[in-house]
Parts: sequence; structure tokens; C-alpha cells
Amino acid sequence: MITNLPPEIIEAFDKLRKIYLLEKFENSSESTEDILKGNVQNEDYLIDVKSTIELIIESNLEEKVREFEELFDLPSLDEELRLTRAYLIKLLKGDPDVECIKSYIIFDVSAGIVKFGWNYSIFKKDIELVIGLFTAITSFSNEAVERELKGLSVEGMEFEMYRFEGGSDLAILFILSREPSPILIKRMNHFTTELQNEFGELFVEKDIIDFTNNKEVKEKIFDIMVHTLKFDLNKLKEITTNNQ
Amino acid sequence: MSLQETLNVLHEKIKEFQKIAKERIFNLGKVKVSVIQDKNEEGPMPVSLGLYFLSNSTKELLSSNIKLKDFNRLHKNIKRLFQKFVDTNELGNYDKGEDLFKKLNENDCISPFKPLFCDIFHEKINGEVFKNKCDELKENISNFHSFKEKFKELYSKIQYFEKLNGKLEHYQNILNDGNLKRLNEENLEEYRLFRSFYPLDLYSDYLIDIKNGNVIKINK
Repeated sequence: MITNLPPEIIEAFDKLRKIYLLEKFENSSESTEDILKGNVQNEDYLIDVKSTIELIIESNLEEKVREFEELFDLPSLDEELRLTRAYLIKLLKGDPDVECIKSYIIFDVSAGIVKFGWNYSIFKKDIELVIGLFTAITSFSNEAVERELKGLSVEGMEFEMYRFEGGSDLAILFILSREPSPILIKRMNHFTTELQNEFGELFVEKDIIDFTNNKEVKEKIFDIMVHTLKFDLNKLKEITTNNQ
Repeated sequence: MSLQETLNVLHEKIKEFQKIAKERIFNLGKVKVSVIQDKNEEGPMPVSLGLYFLSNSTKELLSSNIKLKDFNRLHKNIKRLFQKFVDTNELGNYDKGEDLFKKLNENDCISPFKPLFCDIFHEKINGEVFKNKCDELKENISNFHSFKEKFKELYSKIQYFEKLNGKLEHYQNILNDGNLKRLNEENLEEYRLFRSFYPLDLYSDYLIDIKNGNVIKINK
């Protein structure tokens, strides 16, 4: 058991749990320090708390309090959120939500055609079967589902599919290394909307779009990935280069 | 400039000010002013209506033979209305070292700043910053454009608090009754702001569940 938790971290968690519900912190008879000490090596627990903290940050509730900072003395919890988030990422040795996304594919649900894929070559063998499976699910064909399941060898991976809005048959399929946290689900939804707004028409018009051939488009898509999915731009470029 | 031309300019200025009043820069609907009407009868009316009256009487003067007594009446009304308009002149006139909170609190005309004198707001206000803001207003009082911007900036924050001020007691009642259902009918953003007025330990059994976007009560 870790016994030397930084006091400012304990204090920050302590303040947060008096305003916000942090998973597994709700037992008020247990001290913040003891709860933290008992869980610093529990990865699932840390990911859960990190996800909640990021949801708080993205809710902008603290920003609203800070708006009045100059005129009124209203304590916001920005510092606490920043400290606890950084500490959790340090314990987790990286941001698991970002690393959870292994690949994503944009495909036409009705035709089962891949329109675009990021980092999909590492799963190329299974991708077509996965697409086939989702296409079969959305077309409610049990026979087709069974056929695709038999051929599928992808193990230990999670899938999340979001359909584009507005009546098109396009959908985005995320391939994940674990079940996504609530913050990641929120980010993937946001990413899907951003992608649709930016490239929706192109995806419908073109059969296949090779983003790597167009510098401007590539930069734009990377920009959306950095801002919505929170990828680190340098690491993103590194992954793309290594898999080409 | 002839009297006719002056009245024309004045008429335009009043119209311009009416437009500003409509944009609710000031809380003109709530403030009343005593206006001298025909036959020298005086009667209180909301400032917004007073402006309308002023605009009309200027227009009437423009289309008739101007008599000195009419012009004097108009002049008096303008003076009264614009004195109200620059209620905030009170801000500009305060002397350094004077108890600004007390002065503002005594003056019913300065309605936009009223919420600041509720005890809980008063406790939280940063007096030095507020005083600097008032000084800024004072410095800009002769330039309506920049004054308007400075005032708007300050007033928009205070207005938000005014809304919250009205709800403080409401929130306290809900929490004292333990009525979670009613609490969750309120705006989460405002609830968070409301909570920032109290020490962290107070009401800490009511927590914001950010995943579900509501407030829950935990057992202590």
C-alpha cells in the first residue's frame, strides 16, 4: 500500500468530493486519504475517477464560477481539477482514454463499404468482417449476423458505432482496447458530429477518400482528433507514420 | 445653432437613448421619474415611459410655434430624465474614502447595484475591484460609448447575480426540506454558483452527479 500521498492531492480530492459525486468516494465515513491509499493501484478505479473529473472540466460549471472571480470572491475548483487529473494520469502512466482508441472506420451501413479508416491497417484482416457484422446488425438480418460472427477472430476488443445524423447511411465505428469511459463516449459523440460537419458531404459523394493524400484534409482531421478525442498531435503523427 | 436645429438634434438623441433603454442597459422600467406634463401638472412615471413622453413633446414642439414656457418645461423634463439616466452619476460623484456600499445602498435610484447589498453577496464581493470598476465608470462618464460598454460589462455580471439572489432563499428552502425532486428541476449551473456562496462543508451531502447531470443526496 502506498503511504506517501502528496497532501495537496488529498486536499484537492477532499474539496472536490464535497461538491461533486466521485465514484466510490461517496462513503463519507471513510477519509479521502484512506480511499485514495486503498485504490492507487486499482486501474479501473482510477480511470473511473479520471473520467468523472474530465466530465466536470468539460461541463464548464467551474468556468461559470470563475467568470465572477474578479468581482466576487467565489472559490472555484479549477486548481483541484487540474491537480487531481494530472495526478491520476501520472498514476496511470498515460491517458488511458486516448490510448483506448485503436482505430476508427467510417463506412456505409447499407452497402457495407469502407469510406475512410484511421489506423485500420493493424486490424485489416478483421475490419471487413466487423463492418459486415455491423451492417448485418443494422439490416436486422440474423442469418447475416451469424455468418459474420463465424468468421470473426477479433478478441479482447470493444466496438462503438455511431450513425451520422440526417438520414445518411454513414456510420463511424470505433475499435477500442477496453469498454469506453463516459468521458470517452462523450468525446466520440462530439468527434462524430465534428467529422460529419466537416466532411459529411465528401463521405457521401466519394466512394473512398484517402486523407493521407491531401495535406490540408489530413491536417484538418488530425486537428479534430486532437481537439475532440484529445490525441497528442506528435504521438498521432508517430502512430500514423509507423503504420504506413 | 438655431433653436429648431437644437430641438432636432435633441429629438434624435432622445430616440437614440430610447433605443438603448430598450436594450435594457438600465433597469428603466423599475425606476420612476416625476415628469412635468401639460398645464404644469407633475406625475411620476417609469423612466422608459418618460422617455417616450419626452420624444413626443419634442416632436410636438418641432411642428408648432415654440413658446418659451414650453421650451422651459421640456428643458426641465430633460434635466430630470437625464439625471435619472445618469443615476450612475452618483457613482461618479462619490468621494474617495466615502463608504461606497452605504452610499449606494441608500440610493434607490441605482437599482442595478441593489443585489450587491444582500448580506451574502456583500460578504463575497471584492470591494477593491468593485471600487476600481466604479472609478472606471466615473472616468468614462463623459463618453457615452465607452461608459455604455463599461457599464454593460459590469451590469451583466450583477444582473446574473440579481437572478441568483432571488433564488437564494428558494434554494435554501429546498435544501432544508430535502426536496431533491424540486432541486433537480432547477438549473445545474445556477446550483453550482449558489453552492459557491457557502463553505464547502455546508450542504455537502448534496452532490452534483456530473454523469447524469443532476444532484443527488448522500447519507452522512
